Amino acid sequence: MKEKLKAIAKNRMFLVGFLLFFTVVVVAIFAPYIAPHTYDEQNLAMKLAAPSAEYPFGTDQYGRCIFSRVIFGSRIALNVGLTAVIIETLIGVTLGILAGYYGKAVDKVILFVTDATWSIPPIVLAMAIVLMLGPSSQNVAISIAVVSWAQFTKIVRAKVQSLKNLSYIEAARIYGESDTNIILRYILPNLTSTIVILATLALPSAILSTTSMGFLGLGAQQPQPDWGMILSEGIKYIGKAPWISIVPGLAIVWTVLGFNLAGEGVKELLDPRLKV
Amino acid sequence: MSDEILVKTEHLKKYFPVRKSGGGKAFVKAVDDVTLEIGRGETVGLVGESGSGKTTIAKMILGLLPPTENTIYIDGKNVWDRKNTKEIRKKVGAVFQDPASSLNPRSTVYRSLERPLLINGCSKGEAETLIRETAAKVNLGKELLERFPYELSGGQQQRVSIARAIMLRPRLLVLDEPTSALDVSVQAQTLNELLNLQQEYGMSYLFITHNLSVVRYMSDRICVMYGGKVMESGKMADVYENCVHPYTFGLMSSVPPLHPRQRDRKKYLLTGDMPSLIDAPEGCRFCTRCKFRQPVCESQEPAMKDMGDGHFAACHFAGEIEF
Amino acid sequence: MEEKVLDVKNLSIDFHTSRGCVKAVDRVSFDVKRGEVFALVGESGCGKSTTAMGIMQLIRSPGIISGGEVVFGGRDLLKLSREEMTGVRGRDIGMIFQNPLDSLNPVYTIGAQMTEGLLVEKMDKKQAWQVARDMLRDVKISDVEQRMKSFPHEISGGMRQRVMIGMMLCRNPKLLIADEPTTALDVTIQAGIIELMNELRRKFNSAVLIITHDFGIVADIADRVGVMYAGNLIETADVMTIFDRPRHPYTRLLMKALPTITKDEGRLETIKGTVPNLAEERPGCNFADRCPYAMQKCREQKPEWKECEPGHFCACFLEEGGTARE
Repeated sequence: MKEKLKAIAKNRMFLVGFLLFFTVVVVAIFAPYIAPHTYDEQNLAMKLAAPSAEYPFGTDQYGRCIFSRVIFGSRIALNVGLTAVIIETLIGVTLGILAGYYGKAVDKVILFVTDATWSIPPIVLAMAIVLMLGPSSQNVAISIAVVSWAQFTKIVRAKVQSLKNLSYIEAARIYGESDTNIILRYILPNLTSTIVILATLALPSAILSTTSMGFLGLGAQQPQPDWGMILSEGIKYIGKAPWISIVPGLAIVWTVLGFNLAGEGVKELLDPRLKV
Repeated sequence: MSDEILVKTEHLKKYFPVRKSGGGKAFVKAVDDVTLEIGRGETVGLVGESGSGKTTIAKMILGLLPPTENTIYIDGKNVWDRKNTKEIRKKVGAVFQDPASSLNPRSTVYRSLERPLLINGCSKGEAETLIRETAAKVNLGKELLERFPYELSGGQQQRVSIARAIMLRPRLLVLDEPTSALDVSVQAQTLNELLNLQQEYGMSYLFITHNLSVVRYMSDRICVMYGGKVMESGKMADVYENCVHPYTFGLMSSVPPLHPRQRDRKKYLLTGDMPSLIDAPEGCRFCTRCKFRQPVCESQEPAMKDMGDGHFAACHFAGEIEF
Repeated sequence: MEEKVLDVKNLSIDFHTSRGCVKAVDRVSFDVKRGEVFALVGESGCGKSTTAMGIMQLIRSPGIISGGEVVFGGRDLLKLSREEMTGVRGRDIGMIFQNPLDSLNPVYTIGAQMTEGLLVEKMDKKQAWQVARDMLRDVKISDVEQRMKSFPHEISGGMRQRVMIGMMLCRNPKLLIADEPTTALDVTIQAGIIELMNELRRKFNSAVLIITHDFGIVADIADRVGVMYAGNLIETADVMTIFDRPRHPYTRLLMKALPTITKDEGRLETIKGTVPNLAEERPGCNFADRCPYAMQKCREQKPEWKECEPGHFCACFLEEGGTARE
């Protein structure tokens, strides 16, 4: 572990990733201290103002500070992304373990549901779910989780299938461990690194989906500063005030890139098969 | 050695259903009509090539795989009767081939040894005494108890597996190729330890292996399997020195000698591969590879012939063939 | 018979890891003569496979060949360029591995793979197929016509290893290196392969270097044997001498650890302790900590590689006094 940590510390790509990742987290936590304004403070005298000392990235059509809105927006992105990943991990891992461990009919049913979920275009399904539940950031998180748990199930199922035939599991069954105990004490602990890797890799795409839903107006509603929503509203003023769209766009790239690179780093660190 | 029987099974069968390529069902007859007895304190060696059904038998005895037909009795108790489960699991233990995958990588040695005791009603305190005692018996240093499996050598890992298997002081230990992954010097050590433990606790061993030299060192009786059936069984010395089944002879002359002087021994090499066990032929399972084959072998399955003194062979011509 | 096909002199292979430099192979010297089977035997991690890989120059990073010579056909292989070495592999030295399925390409037929090497040598196609067919017959494969058109997954493990052997012998190499060639196979199949190798070496009179951990295979096929322990070659002699009169304490103990008896006849000999960590530099003999005859000297200096009787080499201080205590 230590050796790997050293090797990863030497890799510039991972370092950049972790740096980007940490800035986003720090910004989200300390948003009120960093942002010069609150996200909903309007200054109608300064509508669509160009970047200045007071409004470093200009203002929108209501005279709100884009810089502050984007800073506060990181909270929504992280919050919704994280919630979605937690829900999809819970669904995906549970189904994956059940399918892999019990096999037979249980496996067939779960596999069918998984494949069915996978065959629907995710964004369409997510939109349908949000429209059904009503647009809000909470419902966006749920919809993202519902469309993306399938990959967890597939990978966890395969891993459990190979784990359950290992001799130590057979030995445990011989001395009388119950199925529940085998799953909780023997299988789950040996899945942790797989789950952490999957979750870190799922986070950036969940954030991306969050902003897409915001862009379509299905996420957090005004005056909440959702990056996707800010970006889509800015499109109307792209000629006059391009900063409205550009700044949240850059924030999305920054975050997703950072999380992707950092995720690769975590994978490298935890995956015993990969040797640095 | 006592004549009392610990493990008994008659006409044991395990068929695995498979789908035929043209549709419809067929069965792989992995274990077909096997009768086996293990006496108290006795070591029975189960030998044969891969796919002969050795491991399937072990799994049925260990309660991991339900038989298709008939059952196994340990101490007179049916292994596959639910009300005996609790009792049976204290009577059997197992050691598997691959030492690395035999231990939970996330548990320390101590935790691995503790689990079987806690589940079966030991207090933490009692468990500790037993663990210390058993670890000493298998020459597992105290300092190793708090280590994780990956910090141990293959030989040490296998000793932990043995310790775990005998934790509940079972009557029967199933040893499935326990030393095939180990080096010669570690193998010798492990085998000696197993013999000492057997003497001390009076356990019966079912020793499964393809290594005939190892089985000769360890066993009182051996049972030679081929294609899911027992070909020959009897006292180790009888089968070794006077085998009557062509398969046993072929198997034994295939094993490389442990001295170059035996290089020019009389050899009868088997050609070809084991036939598929799906819809196995009516006659003798071995007849496709047997050079002593007669028409009767292809049409009629040979019955177990009693060669005297507990020596049996499933061959129409047992005792009549000159090798 | 006395022509040395391969002469390995003081070959050393190091692996540079973060925990230090591991001397996986340390000044190993042996030779393989024409028409002879030389077995390199030892327990896991002793460096036998690494030695074979070193001869073939297939050592991967972080390993490097840090010294010595590998003389083959009058040339030192270690001095050849990458292209020259590629020419030597396959044509002059053939190699077969433990798992034949990994060594055969799953998307080409047996025939295509067998003739590939011959076509490289500008043999015409018809002739190449004929050579391949004859070779398959030599390695005792039935239905040759059928098999030439089969894919590797369609034939059994034993047959694949026969195909590998045939493929290697097609180009008539001077040396065949076999790394654990039968470990993955059942005994009855193994016996057939050993029988075949015995027959073929008489027919082709090529030199064979077998790497194995199985003393049974050594007893069955080797003419001469080299025993390795913890990166060192500790003893070489002809096969009878190794089994009957081994000199090195490690070889002696190993011979008594082989299960040649029944439990009623006695107990097997064991070797106390474990293999030393090769990353630690030690002044003395690598076996000293486990050796029942170890002297003060053994822990301070490395024993020299000496010929203790004609053709019998050993690296042990007991040999210097001339007598070994039993």
